Amino acid sequence: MLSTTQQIVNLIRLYWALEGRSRQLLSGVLLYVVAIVLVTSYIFGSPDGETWLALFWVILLFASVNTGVLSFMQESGGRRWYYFQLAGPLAVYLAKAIHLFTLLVVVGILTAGLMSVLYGFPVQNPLLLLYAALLATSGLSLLFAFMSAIASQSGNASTLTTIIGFPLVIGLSLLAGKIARGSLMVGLSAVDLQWDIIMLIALNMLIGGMGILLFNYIWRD
Amino acid sequence: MSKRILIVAFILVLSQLAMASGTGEDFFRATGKIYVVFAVIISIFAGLIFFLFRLDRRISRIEKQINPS
Amino acid sequence: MSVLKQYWWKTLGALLVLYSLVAGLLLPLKPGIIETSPSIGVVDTTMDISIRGYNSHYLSSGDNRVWLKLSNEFMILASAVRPLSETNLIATFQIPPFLPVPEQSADCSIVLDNSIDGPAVKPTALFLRQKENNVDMGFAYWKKDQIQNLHTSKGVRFPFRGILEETIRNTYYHVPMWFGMIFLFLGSLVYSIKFLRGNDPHGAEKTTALNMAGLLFGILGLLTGMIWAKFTWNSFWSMDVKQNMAAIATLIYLAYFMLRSAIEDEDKRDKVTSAYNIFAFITLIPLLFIIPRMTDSLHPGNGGNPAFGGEDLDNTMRLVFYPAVLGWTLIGFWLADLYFRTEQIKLRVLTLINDNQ
Repeated sequence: MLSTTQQIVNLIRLYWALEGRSRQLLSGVLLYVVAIVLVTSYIFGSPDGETWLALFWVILLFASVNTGVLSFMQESGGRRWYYFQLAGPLAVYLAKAIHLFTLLVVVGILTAGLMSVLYGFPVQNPLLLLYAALLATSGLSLLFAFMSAIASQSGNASTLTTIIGFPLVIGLSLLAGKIARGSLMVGLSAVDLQWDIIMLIALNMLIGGMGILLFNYIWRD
Repeated sequence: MSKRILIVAFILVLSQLAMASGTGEDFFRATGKIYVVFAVIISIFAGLIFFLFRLDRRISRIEKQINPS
Repeated sequence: MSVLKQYWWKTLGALLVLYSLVAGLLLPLKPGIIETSPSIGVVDTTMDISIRGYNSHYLSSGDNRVWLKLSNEFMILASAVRPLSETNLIATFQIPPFLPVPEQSADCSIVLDNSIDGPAVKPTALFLRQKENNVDMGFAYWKKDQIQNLHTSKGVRFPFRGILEETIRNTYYHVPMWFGMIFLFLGSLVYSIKFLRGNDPHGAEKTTALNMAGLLFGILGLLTGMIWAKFTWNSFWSMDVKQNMAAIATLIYLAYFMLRSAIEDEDKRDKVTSAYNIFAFITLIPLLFIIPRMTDSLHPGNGGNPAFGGEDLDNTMRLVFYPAVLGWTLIGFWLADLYFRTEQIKLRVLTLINDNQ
């Protein structure tokens, strides 16, 4: 067997190769983002800072659910068995989480860009928003990589992922939301919110650690 | 199904009685709000009874499997 | 196994709950002041303030003293006190011409003391206004009478708290639901870990049973909390952070049962739901223990730490509260035990029937 890092790299390469061939996942999510931003711009016009953030957040959240679900739906039957041969559970989980994370970063950048073009950019302190968004997306991808793996064990994965995943992300999004709201204020820096940031990092590590420990049990059939 | 409707109706009648015996909310607020404590204890009791009913139904199902007559 | 060994903790739980019901309902509240009127006054007048007491003995104890208290240093004594009944009393104050503060107004509390009831306080009872201020003169007027020789209240009694009144007793019935829920979920966490590590073949079923009881307690906690909130905070749901977090916690465990019913293959279901259960408890930690400490809350000990301190839980209350928590937790484990055993019998019966056929 290859080392775990090598397995992860191989898997991610495989994911991107598949992505390049079908473009199902990325194009689906991108279409969703563009549609949502355009529709909301028609309905609301130009929102204020808080609404801007809330919108950004909701789009990111739903994008993470969709990507998570889609990425495991593709792996039914044979392909799942193939991964099982190719790599250990740790590698599969981390590769999936990293793949989700990169997808979500792309989605996040695109959303923020599109929203700034259509609505303007109300954020005073972009660095704080960046911290909040990065930490939140990493937490979301670690969580949904796990939840969609759980849900893929049952018949209707997409509904189940939403049901079991959403209550769990509330703590994460409340913490991240607090940091993100700080980015609307002038003269607030990361030092002022260091406890929230530390808490969010700790929560990320907790979710990631749990995922690594527990993925072994749900992956083995 | 009709049993459930009966229970809901019973609870509704009971709460109506509780409201009617005083003048609405003042009934609860009178005498140091002691009836709020009463309502809390009653709802915990109702919750436990609900649990018992569900357990009872499960046991009945098992009994039916042992002697299906 | 002897009967005693199996039943001692269930009996203990029942006895503790019984004790919490008896002691929690029968011990009286300390005497207190329900309301005072009027609530607004101006300086340099004579004011008659009528006081309505609770559990008080204004007539039978002839030595009522009433103070108008601005702060720990500044207060004035009522010039005349006229009890109308055991629970009604009129105190006459000569309000001095100046307040000892540089502001135009001040909030005073009313302190009442007699030999039978002991001291009682009504905070922010009277709002006093002045046109011009003279702090030095105010000092002289308000420094004269000091609160001295307060009596102590007799007997074992629960504290009287402003808007809570008798509902302070709900501390022994509403709060143990939450403690019980957390202990039950903690128990289910332990069994899911045991199951996944292969130490307990029935761990998954035990997890489900404990979650069932925990969810019942959680829903009861929400329900009783809503009833209590309606008559103290004036609405069933006030978007208080602890209310919201508790609702989310129940949602998480409802999702556990959704997941359990969604997967058909038994082995897979046991493994997956146990893993989800561990995950759920871990994500519950920030919801229940971190976020409430960061946000303002109507619950006692708000803002900083949601702990029980000071007047919200005094030593008399502790004597009822902790046994109640232990008792309800044991009852919860008992419920879970019954559920688990029923499910085990069901499985056994099914295999027996299949073998016979």
